[in-house]
Amino acid sequence: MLKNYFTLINTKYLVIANIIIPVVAGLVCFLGGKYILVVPAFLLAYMVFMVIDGVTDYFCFGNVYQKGSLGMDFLKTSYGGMKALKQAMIVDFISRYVRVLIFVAIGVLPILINADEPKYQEEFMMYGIDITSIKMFALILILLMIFVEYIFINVDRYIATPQNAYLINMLIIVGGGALIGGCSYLFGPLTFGNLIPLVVLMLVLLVVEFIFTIWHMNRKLDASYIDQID
Amino acid sequence: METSYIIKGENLSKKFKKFELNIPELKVPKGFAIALIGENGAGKTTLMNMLSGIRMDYKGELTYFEKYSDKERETNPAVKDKIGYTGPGKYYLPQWTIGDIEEISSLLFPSFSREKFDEIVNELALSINGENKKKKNSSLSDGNRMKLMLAAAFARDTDLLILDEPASPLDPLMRDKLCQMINEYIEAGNGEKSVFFSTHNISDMENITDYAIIMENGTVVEEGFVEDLKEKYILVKGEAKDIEVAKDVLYTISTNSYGFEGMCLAQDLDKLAGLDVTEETPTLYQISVAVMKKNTKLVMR
Repeated sequence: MLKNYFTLINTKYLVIANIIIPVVAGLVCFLGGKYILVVPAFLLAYMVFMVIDGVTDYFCFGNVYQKGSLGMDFLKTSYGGMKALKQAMIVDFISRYVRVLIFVAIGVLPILINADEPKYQEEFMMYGIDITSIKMFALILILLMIFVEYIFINVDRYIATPQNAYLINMLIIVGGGALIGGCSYLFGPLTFGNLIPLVVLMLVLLVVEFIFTIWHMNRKLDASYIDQID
Repeated sequence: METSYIIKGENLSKKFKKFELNIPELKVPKGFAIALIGENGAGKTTLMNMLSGIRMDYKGELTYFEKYSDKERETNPAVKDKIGYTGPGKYYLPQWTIGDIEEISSLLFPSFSREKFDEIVNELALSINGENKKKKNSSLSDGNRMKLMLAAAFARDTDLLILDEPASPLDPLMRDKLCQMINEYIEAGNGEKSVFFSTHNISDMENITDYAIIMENGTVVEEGFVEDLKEKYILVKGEAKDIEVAKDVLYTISTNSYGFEGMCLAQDLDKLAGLDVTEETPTLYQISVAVMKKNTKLVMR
């Protein structure tokens, strides 16, 4: 699986998407949070992470879910082409978790460790976040990031131009942001207790989304790739 | 000698909105260079895509190497690995480099030889001693892109090469080189290896073509060994005074104020007795044009 991933996936994509973007977004989050404000810095980093990641995805996979997309003929003429591409894509799906973890390790964790510093406490109170539940809240944001990443995967691979992929990603990000904001209103004061159901819900959603993403990928590649009547 | 077939097809059909491919019987002889000829939109690429496994939404039966069905082509790796293919420009992803293509080919095709690939890319001046391997597919010219596809196809141990318009983007020198490569491939196979290629450059490919299949309007309108076709059709030239008589006899005819030139079926040659005509053996190009002219929907003057 890994061999297929490293062979079929463009090296530039591997480096930019898996290392450069998460590290840059993590640094924006960490430095912005440390020297300015945590929440705006996180949102800015989130935008950087998601938009660039989505556009990079376009340059690697293009509109691979559409019939007759570029490069598919080559894979179709080999026996193992479809299997290799599917395996490479599954590794790519899993690498999304790694990307978010790199971002979190650089941008979010250092702030969470020092969350009881007065500077941070003041800001969290300003947003109505109970300091005792800040770690749980951060966990929800991280799970949301992964959730939105997977929406990208399912939507962007139908889109034939990078400009459109960029626009769609912006819309999804606004939707993701609205979801985060909506959670605050829906669940009232964000305390440790009332965040637990949200974490459980997010975990269930992520499992469902992961299964759906693999099913969707299989279905679309089979349809575009094999072109069979029956 | 009994002819065996590398591909046999029965009742092949594929319907599009404004076009239908319909071939009741297709026979591609084994051990030869077979040219698929036809005007634009005749259905050549559709047929080649069906044969190579790119397109599978067709009806009909295909048999490969006299024993494997098209389903087995997809499920038995040994069958698919014996078939090489080159197609139009979008065959490889644009961002792949020559090195990437070598890497990916060796991953996907068990019989792909890196040494042979390096040798061919050197020979075709695509990459000299490993240089230019970082060059992207998108930065190559159409001709070099085709050379790259050919290098990857010829670097495999195959028994059948399906080449869709390999000569079109190539310069005359490279077309000559392609003919040489096809010749060497067939000779090395001792009757086991075949090359099935589509072409509009009939003259350039004529000296290596053993068998020709001519398609028009989605079906095969003529086929046969080139030598047999050259016996079946006779090129006839005559004077203006005989045009009216010749028109009724000839398969196709072109006229001008000095006279006429046309293709005559050998069986009809007797009907020209008494006319002042000269007879010549036609080239494959002349036969193909005559057959296409006879069956085309184009308005010919």
